[in-house]
Amino acid sequence: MCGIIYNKCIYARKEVPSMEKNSKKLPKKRIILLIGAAALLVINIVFYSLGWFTFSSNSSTNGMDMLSDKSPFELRTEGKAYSGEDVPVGYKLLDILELSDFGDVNGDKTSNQTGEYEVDGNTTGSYSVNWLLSDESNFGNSDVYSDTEENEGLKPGSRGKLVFYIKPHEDKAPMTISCIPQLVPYKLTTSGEKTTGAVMNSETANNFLKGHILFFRDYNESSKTYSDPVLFDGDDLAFEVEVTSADEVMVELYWIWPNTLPELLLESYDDNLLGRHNILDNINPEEVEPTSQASGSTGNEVPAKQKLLGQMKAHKNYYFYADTLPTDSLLDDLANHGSYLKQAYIAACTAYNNADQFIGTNISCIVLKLVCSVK
Amino acid sequence: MKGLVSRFKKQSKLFKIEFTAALLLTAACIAAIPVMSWFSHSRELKTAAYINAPINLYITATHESDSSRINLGDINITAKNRDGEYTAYKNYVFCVRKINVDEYILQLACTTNIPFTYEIYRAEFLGRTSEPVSIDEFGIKSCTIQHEVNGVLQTDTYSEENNNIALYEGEYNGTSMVYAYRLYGSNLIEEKQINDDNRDGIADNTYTTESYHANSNIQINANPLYYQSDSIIRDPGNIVEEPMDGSTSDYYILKVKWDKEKIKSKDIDNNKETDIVYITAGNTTKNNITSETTESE
Repeated sequence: MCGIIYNKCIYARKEVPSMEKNSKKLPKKRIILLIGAAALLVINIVFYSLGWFTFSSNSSTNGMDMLSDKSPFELRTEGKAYSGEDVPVGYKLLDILELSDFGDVNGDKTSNQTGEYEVDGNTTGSYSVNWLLSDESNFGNSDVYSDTEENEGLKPGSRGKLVFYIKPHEDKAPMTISCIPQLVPYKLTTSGEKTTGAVMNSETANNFLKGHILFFRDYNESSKTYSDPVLFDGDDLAFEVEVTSADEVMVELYWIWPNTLPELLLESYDDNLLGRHNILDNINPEEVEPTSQASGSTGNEVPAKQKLLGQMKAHKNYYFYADTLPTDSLLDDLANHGSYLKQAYIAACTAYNNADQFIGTNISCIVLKLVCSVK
Repeated sequence: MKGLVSRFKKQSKLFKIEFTAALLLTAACIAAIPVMSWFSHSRELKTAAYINAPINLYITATHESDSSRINLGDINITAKNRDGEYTAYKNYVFCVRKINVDEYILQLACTTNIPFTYEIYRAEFLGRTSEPVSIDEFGIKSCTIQHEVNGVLQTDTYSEENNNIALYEGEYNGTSMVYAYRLYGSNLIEEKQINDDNRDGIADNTYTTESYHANSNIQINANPLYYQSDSIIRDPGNIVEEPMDGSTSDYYILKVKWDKEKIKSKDIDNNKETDIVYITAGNTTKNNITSETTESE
């Protein structure tokens, strides 16, 4: 017995230094496990961060079912029905970019198209659907793409109106929907007969799109001016739509690629605006009847032109492509019909046009995404 | 609970680290569920469009020819028609070639030493021939062009005696060619002077500073007169053969006119003073959201 105990003691004495040694140096397997766990943790943290910044106060969950809770609203989009090869280039382009989830436009179901398509997450299995094109969208809705003037590809001077509908689910209104338009530049490459597209990772291209393709919530047909701009203020741009009842809300979003800098900054009486018209509303909203404002807009405290001027001064790299960017005082001077120097004015216009040329030379096509969520 | 804590405390450092990591990870995974749920709440619309830029807009002579100077010095003021009447006009063809331009304006600037007036009209391309232009005893140019109409060959003669016709002698694929055009529509710059308030054919001082960086000691005829058309879109009824570079062309006729009476009164003759005429084209933003198919003039 003693012998056994003694043996055990000896064994124990031998074990202790061995354990201490092991605790100082981790086995490889454990190190890998720890690294894996840490990586998973980091991924989760990134995921929360993304979620947090766009967090919806109405979100909820049901046990472990991640797609359990229905969205409190749906988007609806209306457009023309097309069949066969007659589909607009916008649809074909989404196919090329492998973004299209709307097979019926090209497929056998086309003949059943009523021109109206209701977005339903459960049916499509996707929260992202093709924006059906109308005649007045002027955004990829030409029937045939070619290098002639007949096609409706975008270029300086292009403009249009995009329409969609927010359809609240029962008992979910009132709510505020936050809508974020995003422009993504793509570069197309053709190999043999196959054309493929890839997102351009160019900061310059992204910046110029932010300053050269503009969105507005309101447009005055008689004065042909835009108001209530939706501008990139820093990293994001968004507008809000109030859904007050269970009724569907129609949302109009105007877009324009202005032709020249004077159209944005000069007044109609300015000598240097000859042959063109200024496109931004510069009327103090206090002088305007409230009914003339866009339905669901968030207000229009500052005239569109002043808002844009502010953004232009803050983000000149969105608008101008030049070694020397226009100064704040020159832009102020232009916008307020000051006594600007002709040379500086021409330089600013050229820098604006150069950015247009950069877009045209480097970007093959753009995808417009509109992400809507409950605020 | 106390037991659990003391038991935890007794564990090795390694165990504590691993246990804490596992706990955090589990919490993180649970927290991911509502975040995932939120993502399923957002809805997205997407559309795509080609970019049709950069834009090009330039003035050329006709049919892929380089721009040519219109030589006012060559105008024969005393040219007469077959009836012995002064013709008192001269037509010149020019072309606006463009890529990715929907609308544009035409501008004309001229000094006013010679008592000419200028008009710009749209032009219709009638055809071309490799046969040289013929000049009759009155100095009137004409050409004969064969057309195929409904499979039948038809021959037409176009003479500059007709004040709506302009002939252009150029080249096509290395061969000398005569092109014929007919003007149509109204004068695009009629009453479009922007610095002639008195309508006396002499520029006022509205843009003198811009022209000369000075506002005094400028001889009145050296002060340019500016004309500017309304916004012009392509005439869908007059689309002719296009170059292969994706550009489209609109043809115009510049009609230079002078007063017959001034020839008789010797106020104008072939010993002309110097004048400069510029024609420019500038693109504009569409005035309407919906695309137009008719002429805006």
